[in-house]
Amino acid sequence: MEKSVKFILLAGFLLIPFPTLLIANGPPINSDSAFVTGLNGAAFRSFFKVLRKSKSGLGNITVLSQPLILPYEVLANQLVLVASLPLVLKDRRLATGQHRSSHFGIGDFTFLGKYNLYQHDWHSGTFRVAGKAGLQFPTGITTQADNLGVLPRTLQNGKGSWNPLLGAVMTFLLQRFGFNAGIAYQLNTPGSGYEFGDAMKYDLAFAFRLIPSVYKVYPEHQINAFIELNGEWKQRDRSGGVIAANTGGNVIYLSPGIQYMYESIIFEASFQVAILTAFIGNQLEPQWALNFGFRWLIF
Amino acid sequence: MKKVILSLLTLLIFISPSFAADDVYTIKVKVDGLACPFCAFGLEKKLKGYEGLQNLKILVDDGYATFNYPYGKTPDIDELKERVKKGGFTPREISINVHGTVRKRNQTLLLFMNDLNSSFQLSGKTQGIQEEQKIFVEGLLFKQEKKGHKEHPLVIEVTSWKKV
Repeated sequence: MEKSVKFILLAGFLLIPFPTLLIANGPPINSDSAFVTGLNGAAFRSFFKVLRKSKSGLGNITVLSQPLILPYEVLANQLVLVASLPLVLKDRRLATGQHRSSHFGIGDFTFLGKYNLYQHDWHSGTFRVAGKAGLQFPTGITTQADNLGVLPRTLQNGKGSWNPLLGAVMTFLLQRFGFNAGIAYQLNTPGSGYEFGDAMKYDLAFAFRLIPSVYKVYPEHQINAFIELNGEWKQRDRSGGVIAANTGGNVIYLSPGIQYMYESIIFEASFQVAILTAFIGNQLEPQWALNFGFRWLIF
Repeated sequence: MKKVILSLLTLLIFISPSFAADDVYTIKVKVDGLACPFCAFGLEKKLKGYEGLQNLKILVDDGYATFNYPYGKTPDIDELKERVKKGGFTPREISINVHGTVRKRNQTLLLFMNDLNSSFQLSGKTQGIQEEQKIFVEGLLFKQEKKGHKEHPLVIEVTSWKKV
């Protein structure tokens, strides 16, 4: 196994605080929820993602990522701040099947705040809305090259620009059922002569507690099933002020997942398949993604 | 003779109703918004930080957190509710199950635990309760806000009671 892959896996299991947004009825695996409960201590989380993009005639790319995330609860159940730095490995193959390049590095650092805007609780249920705002920093490399030259900007680890983001998320829970919906918009600014198009993520997540049918006394073993729709829309890029060819588009993933919880530990896995892709021009398109990991709350 | 006295004393200890030094009473907090184990985990951590709390149980489906509290100490309701809120949920009514001795002060029935500082006012279904009685009481616990007063007594709105 390549050294960089080993590093990513190891990083995932190191004692590094991860954010855990104390989410309800099993937090959605690929979506956000409106729960805002930072951490009094540290949470350990390993969450590994494998994403595959391909297109006939263009080859494919496999992206392995592992985030390093530090949370801080500013106001209990009101405001949490999160710093996130992804470790990314991208492996590129040409249409001939020939291996072009692998490069490993950090992505763009993101600093995000999430605030509890509205909360209404009743017996065995809750409805919440949270708002979030943040800023992405240009920490990822933008000039990675291989023996064929500098890689296209869309294949670099970083965007090379300061990019604000804004979002909102809603959570509705009632006994065994859960529903989360969220939207986040990132305004990408120009950097080093290139401007990535704005991006919007939109998610719907449905949760159902398989067992137990009635949750009596905490703690009990619990298994949750999820079905999510995760969408990503991207505006077209600009290079030197001119619209860049073969950029922009939309993808929606269907993401079934399963989750096991007991006390402060979660084990979870989700497979995402792109069910709708609409991309402009000739570009690599997402095909599937696999996410798996665990979360361990330690206060 | 000494053996007889010792045996009698031992018998008295076992048969007399006693409020032992390590005695506790029960408090139950209704919590809205409980819908998952992670929710309960956060609530558990916040409540366990409340001094004196013992034997905490979180009943997710029923929507309650119950625990024991040291006999002789009165709970700080405001702090309890604040901890539930900081745990991410909404506290509703608090109920109590406690025993003590009844006294009357200015036409008000009071339930005393160990001393004059650990007492509850009684209201609600108090028919039949007499002064100097030792009773078990169950009811809703709240703080009576009195304008112009520094002290706000704890009141039990009695739903049921029985003699010890």
